[in-house]
Amino acid sequence: HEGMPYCEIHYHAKRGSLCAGCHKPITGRCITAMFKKFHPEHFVCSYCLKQLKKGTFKEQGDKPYCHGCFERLFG
Amino acid sequence: MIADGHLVGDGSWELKVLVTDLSVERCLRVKGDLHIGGVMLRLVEELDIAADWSDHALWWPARNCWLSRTRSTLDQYGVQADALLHFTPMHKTLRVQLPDLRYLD
Repeated sequence: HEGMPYCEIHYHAKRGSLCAGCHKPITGRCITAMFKKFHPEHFVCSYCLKQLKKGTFKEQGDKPYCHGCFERLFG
Repeated sequence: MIADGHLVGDGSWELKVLVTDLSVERCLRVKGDLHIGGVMLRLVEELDIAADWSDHALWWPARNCWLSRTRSTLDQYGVQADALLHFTPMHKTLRVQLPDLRYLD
């Protein structure tokens, strides 16, 4: 990264490509939401833990929720 | 006004909720205008356990009813400070004996 050697974790930390769910590097597919990056399988509803697809989630208090759970909790 | 380390006179009170899965009781400081969904959210955030809570709902043993209308407030359900609620899964196992006397779970 910028000519300097880093271990894998710190390289990805510098590049901002650590998953906000599991804090491990993202190498394959990546979801960007709420100004963070996630492994697709770690971008989940905060209440039912089911996987969220980008663009079909609701945000409340800096946490993502699926529509069903959002409706129940905040409706 | 502060009494016992709490602000009193603001209309808030302690709501006791038993989380049946964990057998723990939690006290939430609430006001009557808090809706049921808000109670569930506060509870789950306070427990801070990553689990699928989507099948859980609030059960009011004294009235024998689910608080399933999550948009309704504690006031609308008539829940007051003397109430104990359960936070428990809605789907439970049930043993059924069929006409041929077999049991199904």
